[in-house]
Amino acid sequence: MSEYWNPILETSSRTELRQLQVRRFREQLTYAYEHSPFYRRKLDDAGIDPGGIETLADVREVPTTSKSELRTAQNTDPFPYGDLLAVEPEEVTEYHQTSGTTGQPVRQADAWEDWEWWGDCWATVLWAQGIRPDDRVFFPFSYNVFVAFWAAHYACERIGAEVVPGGNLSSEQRVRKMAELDVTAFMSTPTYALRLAEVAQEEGYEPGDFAIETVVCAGEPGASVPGTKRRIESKWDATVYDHAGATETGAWGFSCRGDSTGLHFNEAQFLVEVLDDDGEPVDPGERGELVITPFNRRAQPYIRFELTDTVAVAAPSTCDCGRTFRFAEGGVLGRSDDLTKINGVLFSPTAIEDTVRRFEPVADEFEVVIDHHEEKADLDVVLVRVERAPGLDRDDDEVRAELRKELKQALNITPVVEVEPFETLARPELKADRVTDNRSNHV
Amino acid sequence: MSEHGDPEELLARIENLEAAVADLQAYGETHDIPVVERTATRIDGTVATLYGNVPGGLEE
Repeated sequence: MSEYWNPILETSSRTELRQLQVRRFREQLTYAYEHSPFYRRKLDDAGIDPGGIETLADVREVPTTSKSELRTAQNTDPFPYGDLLAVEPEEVTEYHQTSGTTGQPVRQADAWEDWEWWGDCWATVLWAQGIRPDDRVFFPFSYNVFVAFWAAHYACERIGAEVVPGGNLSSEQRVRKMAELDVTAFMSTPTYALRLAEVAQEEGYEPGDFAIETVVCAGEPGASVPGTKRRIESKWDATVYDHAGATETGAWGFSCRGDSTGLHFNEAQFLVEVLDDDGEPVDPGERGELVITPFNRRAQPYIRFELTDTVAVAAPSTCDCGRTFRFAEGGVLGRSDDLTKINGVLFSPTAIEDTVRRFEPVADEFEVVIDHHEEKADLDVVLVRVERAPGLDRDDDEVRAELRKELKQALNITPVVEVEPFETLARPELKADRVTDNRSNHV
Repeated sequence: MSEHGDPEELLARIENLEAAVADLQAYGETHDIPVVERTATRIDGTVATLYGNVPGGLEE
């Protein structure tokens, strides 16, 4: 059986892919111009002729779309999607919304064929990660207005895998159900994959003895953070895969069974641009911000959406899986909103996560608090609070000093480390917000 | 024939659809294209529900 959900597109030559992308971008742009009042106005203002797009350089002349523009547009009629909507309201079959962590949530309208497209994009992800018709896949999360895992559920159906919905259950009930049914895969945030392993142990199970072979993660970058990936794999004795997507764009990136750590861009269904501060494409090996255009969207199209995620783009040949799709080495490296400066040094929460999760004497959870120094107003202080690993036979001071040294090497900042007893810190059950920045007026 | 058309004619159309889906399924299987074979299987399930909505549609 093919390793690729769609061997025709996933192994196309780069030339064929580029031609396909320009053509699909032009078609999507034309559709948005003709059906979405928001895009007609935006493209007219910019003097863009959708039919005139013939090269990727032409694509870069088209203005990008920011999240704040979406919010403004959704305050217009028709309620609740505003003039972003590109179909008649009665054609909308699915409602979802963003979490609103950076402001007012964006509402997402999908028509039936959009929803089919969502499922197909996720099927590309899951097939690449080895999900097959003989898998029994558990979804241990509460289904609600957030799109996370809904489309993955339907993708499993498309593949022919058996879906076990695990919403509205406690974590204890979920691990019991996973054990009872011998589920072979589950999907969750990295945070919750670790939490479920902890709960399984509390319930008297050894998670590594479960039938789980595959853990598919989404919602946080952890599955591409080596320390976190290794920790989840070790606890479940399973292979952990990463996925990246957004409510606005769909499932645009995925890790695969090849010998690589990072994310392929699904370049058959998305135009994925990685751009520098001047809006120009970065060279392989360089970091840039993602700007994404999903193809084949009807109800609420997005043209060159600013995702604000940072990736380091690599050549397609980086991965030995045979896909010709470009690759983001190390996955999503951070969101530009999450990056901050501490004492003049650029600070990424992902670097702390990787270091803590690689450090075996501490448990999975941690917290970071950034604050002004109490006595020196121009200095910042980073506090990293961790827990002793259960059963650890080492002195707290020794653990604190060793972790502090590791963090200093990784961050170029010397943090304060506090070691707490096991199970002192909160246990998030979906996404975790582990960094608190108490500073005022920082850059 | 009622105002809702001729059930035999409707059945014939559904059978055409079923044949096209079976052909697509076989093509996907022969050429090892999971997206084609699996999507055709999904459509086949939808076609089966149409059969269940036509008199005589579930008879062998």
